[in-house]
Amino acid sequence: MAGLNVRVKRDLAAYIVQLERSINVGDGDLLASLLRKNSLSKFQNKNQVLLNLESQIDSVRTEVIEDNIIGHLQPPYDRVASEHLKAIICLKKSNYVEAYVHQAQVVTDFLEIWKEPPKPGDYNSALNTVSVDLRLIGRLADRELNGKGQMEDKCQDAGRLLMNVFSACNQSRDESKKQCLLSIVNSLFKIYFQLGTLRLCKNLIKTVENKGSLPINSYTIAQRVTYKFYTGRLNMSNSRFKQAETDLDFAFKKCTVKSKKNKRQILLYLIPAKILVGKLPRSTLLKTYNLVQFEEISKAVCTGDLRSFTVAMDAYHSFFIRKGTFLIMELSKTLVYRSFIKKITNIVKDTKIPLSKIKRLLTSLGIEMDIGEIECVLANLIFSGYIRGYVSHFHSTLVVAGSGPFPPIINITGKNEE
Amino acid sequence: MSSEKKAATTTQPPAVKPVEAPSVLEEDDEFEEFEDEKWTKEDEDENEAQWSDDWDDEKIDDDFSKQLRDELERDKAAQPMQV
Repeated sequence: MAGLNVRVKRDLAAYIVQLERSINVGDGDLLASLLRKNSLSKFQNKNQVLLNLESQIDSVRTEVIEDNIIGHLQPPYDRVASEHLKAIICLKKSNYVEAYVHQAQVVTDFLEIWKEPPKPGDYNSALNTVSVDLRLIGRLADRELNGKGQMEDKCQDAGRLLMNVFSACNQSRDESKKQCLLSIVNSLFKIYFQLGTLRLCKNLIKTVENKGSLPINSYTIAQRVTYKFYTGRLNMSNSRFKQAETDLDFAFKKCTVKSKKNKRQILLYLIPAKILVGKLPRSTLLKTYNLVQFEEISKAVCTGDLRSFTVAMDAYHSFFIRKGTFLIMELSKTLVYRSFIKKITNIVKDTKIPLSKIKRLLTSLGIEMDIGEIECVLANLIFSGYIRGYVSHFHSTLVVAGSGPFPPIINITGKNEE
Repeated sequence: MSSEKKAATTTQPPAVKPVEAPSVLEEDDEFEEFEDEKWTKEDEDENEAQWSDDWDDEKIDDDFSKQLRDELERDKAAQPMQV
């Protein structure tokens, strides 16, 4: 045990030396790597000194940390470092709630350093690092609280704390510090989406897109992709499908192919948005990203096969519910009806179709609808503009326009979006 | 003093919200932080061909159209007088 402590002390000393160096020369990236939880991020340039320390630090009592750090480094860095290491110890022991408390202190203290740094330098990446870790630890802490049947309030607290960081970024007169804004906004998006408090996103977007703010192109591509992923999802939940498709399409195209997981995440929302504006995913795309759940549904949109649409929606019901896209996928049923009717008019080569004929075809597909229901579906299709024509209630017949009875979907979906 | 805190882990968590639990805990749903903040055009994929927008045609030669046509034929045969 004594031998171990000697090693820990040596590693702590090495850690302090590196921290001091990063502070003295204003090396923001080194500082960030020293304040990052290696155990949390799967990648990122890991700091060897911190890795050594992390590998054995759980055997150390927090007093040892304080004794060896506080006063050995200029304040307030000493407290940031000691709280950071204490958070690491707690993480290693799976005490996430306690780890969160330490990390919250790191963020609060580091924000003050960032605002008025003792030495000039770029502290943005370090601020971003501690903020991202705060959110991740908050998530773990809430999971722990959930397991104990206690109130999960750490993500919410992280949101509150990151709002302070957001305000500091926004109010900074220093242009270079404003560079932090988008990464903090993205962290807040992640928290708000997790908590289901989407209405809180509105002000963030307003700030980012404000004329006085930095142009969106000045942020890194990684931050822009993340930002568009979330604005796309927000537009989706506000039924602004065209705008959602634009945002998510940008995110998907620009997202690095090295992150297949994120590309798949984007597709979960981009595919429904594309379908609604009349663009269907090809099989190869669905296979590449293992998203067969959309295969039969998009095929049904194309063919008008209502039965296979219903079967697929039933089969993947819980999948879509989990992803929060079930109601949006249900909207694509309108397009299946449109294709169904279109197909019938093409087969019978007539502009007049008795509703009884439609009813019989539906029955043959195992779908029982009475004439009233069919009339209602058709009236909706006509009202929304997917079909040009009218239903003659008296003759119980659908009459479609002689020319262009089925306008392109892209012209219809989202035509009322501001 | 023992550093073990077995008591906390052995306590049975109350079975609350069993249905929602998986969605809350599903790590998969996380949009990950990117490994690098910057990348080049070569890492992007702007291939439009992954989407089809020419499917909305007048073609009626697929299996489902055939199924509908057969049904309509059968219907016509049953009611020859219908206009």
